[in-house]
Amino acid sequence: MSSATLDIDLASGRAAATADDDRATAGIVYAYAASAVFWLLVGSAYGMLAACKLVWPDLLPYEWLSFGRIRPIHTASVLFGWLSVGLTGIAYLVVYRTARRPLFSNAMAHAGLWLLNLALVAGLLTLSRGLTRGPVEYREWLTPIAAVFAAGALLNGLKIFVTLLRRRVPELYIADWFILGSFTWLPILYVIGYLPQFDRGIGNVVIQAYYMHVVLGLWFTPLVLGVTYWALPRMLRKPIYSYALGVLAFWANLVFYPLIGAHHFVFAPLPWWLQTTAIATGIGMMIPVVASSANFLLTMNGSWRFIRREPAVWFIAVGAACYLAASLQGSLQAFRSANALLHFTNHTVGHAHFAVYGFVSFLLFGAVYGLVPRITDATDVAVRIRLHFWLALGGMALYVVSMVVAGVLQGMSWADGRPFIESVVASQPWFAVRAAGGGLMTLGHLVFAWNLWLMRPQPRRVEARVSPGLEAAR
Amino acid sequence: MIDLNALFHRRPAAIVVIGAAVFGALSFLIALRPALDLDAATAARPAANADPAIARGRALYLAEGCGYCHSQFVRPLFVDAAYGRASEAADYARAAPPLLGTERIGPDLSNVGIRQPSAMWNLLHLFNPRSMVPDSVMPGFPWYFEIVDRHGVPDGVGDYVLAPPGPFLPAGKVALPRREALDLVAYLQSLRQE
Repeated sequence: MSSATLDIDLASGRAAATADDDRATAGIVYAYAASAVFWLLVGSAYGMLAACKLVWPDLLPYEWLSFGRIRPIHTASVLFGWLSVGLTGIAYLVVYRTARRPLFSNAMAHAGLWLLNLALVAGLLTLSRGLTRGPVEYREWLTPIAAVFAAGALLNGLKIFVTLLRRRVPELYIADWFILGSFTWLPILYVIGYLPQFDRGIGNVVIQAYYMHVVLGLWFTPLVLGVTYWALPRMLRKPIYSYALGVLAFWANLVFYPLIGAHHFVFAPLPWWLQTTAIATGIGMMIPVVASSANFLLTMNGSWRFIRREPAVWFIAVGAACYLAASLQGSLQAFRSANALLHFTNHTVGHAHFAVYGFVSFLLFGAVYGLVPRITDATDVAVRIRLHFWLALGGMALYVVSMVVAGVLQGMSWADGRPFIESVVASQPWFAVRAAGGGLMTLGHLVFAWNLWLMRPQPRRVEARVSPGLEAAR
Repeated sequence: MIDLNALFHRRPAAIVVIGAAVFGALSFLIALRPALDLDAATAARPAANADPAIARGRALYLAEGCGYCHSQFVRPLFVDAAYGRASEAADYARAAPPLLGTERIGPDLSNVGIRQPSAMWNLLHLFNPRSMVPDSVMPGFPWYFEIVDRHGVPDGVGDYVLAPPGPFLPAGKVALPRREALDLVAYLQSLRQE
């Protein structure tokens, strides 16, 4: 399409978003954010309980709270509840802003949220009853429940796609590339992950390796990167450092990330080429990772004096740094030499939280604080972002360090050929440190929930104490 | 010559179609085709024991999420030598789903039927792991046991009346395994990777 056609479209008078559209969009974004925070609190409660049970194994010895049942509830609540729902809500806001048009069909957004929440509640109840497809990570839900979730995601993707088709500006911003990509890849991934012919047999392992990593790499990663490619420049009121690096990151992520899953099953009876491809493309992943994390950090460069007064951006700075560090950690852990020592240990748990919390959650926290008050017209309220930030950062640091240390101790104990129980005893003090870290994170989430309540859509401007940082950002 | 820059910057459908095509092709090459090939190339070992209790026990093993902390995957490495021979594709040919696992908060169980053959030990350990292994962090499964008076044990309840030493039961009580506990033990005893 030539730009001339688009100019005619513009001239033909496609309606720009009005104050009414702002209010409708604020309602959608806030509904998604509120659901997301609810699932964050649920996921934190289950995660805390699981962490405490490794310190006091006889705590709350009830069937529906048994460790093996609450572990998938924790992961489903934080991954599919908190992150998927929260990122979808913010993605709507990004699409609304970049398309400069009202969102297509607000009813679809509300229907999508109902479907996602229905799947999450059904998943929680069934997993509590021990109804599961087995310990196949992140696809434990029974197939009908996953189908409801996928339908919700499809509805959201369709709505975003049509809104972008009807956009009022000629160019599609890089953030929209990532968001469109995420909503394209998730349904494909779900179909492959739930294909019934791989329910049994060694082929299931190949699909499991692929699924459990691609859901991180082609759903959460591009979605949160897309959100950040819009949120960060907006919050700093300057353009992104390099648009081209964003394009490079988009394609490199698409080419490398689907291939790295088998690093979860190094030395398994899977083809050697499959494992080697996974390890090698794990190194290739440094290309999109460095492209985006450096892009974010270089965008911040030169604005540090501004950022010091703007704690919402602190979350994004930590998120970008954790993206780089956690990805490097993951790529190195996949090497056969490192894998022989560290696989099966808590090092993996530390890495998972470093990436999903330090990287994805921190970027989402930052985007919520940076973008939501502007659309809800709540920029004047004094929110406790700093308190949330220090609790989240302190909790995450305790969590990741304790699990990495515990993992190395376990790996060394096994390599020494000691009785297995010695690796449990060596981990136990670090399990306690991890529970303390989780406690700080959970406290931070309570502060976050309170902050989000303060940022609820305002009927008209509230006269309240003005936070100087937020005032400057308006 | 197509202007790729204009294509992707102006056409949301291009992102969706090309994105789906690239992802679909890579998914086929790295996941679907190897999975199909591997399934086709792997002959299942003849089923050793078709006892329905083992199948029921495996279903409970899945329901309780045992596989989150216990692998059934022995690598061809010195570190794993204590668990027996290395796992082979054929070991998983019938498994729905296979339980290789990614974590060992507890030990690998590929060979536990040989390592720990005592049914009584397994029942006590399932009732409360601390009764057998004081430092264990494994959850107990008391809901698969019935707690009754020591003197009120009815006749014909089976061979197992559990009286674990230590503070695991109130005085004068014993635990009787329900069928689920016996099924789980049957499954664990069937795990032999010889």
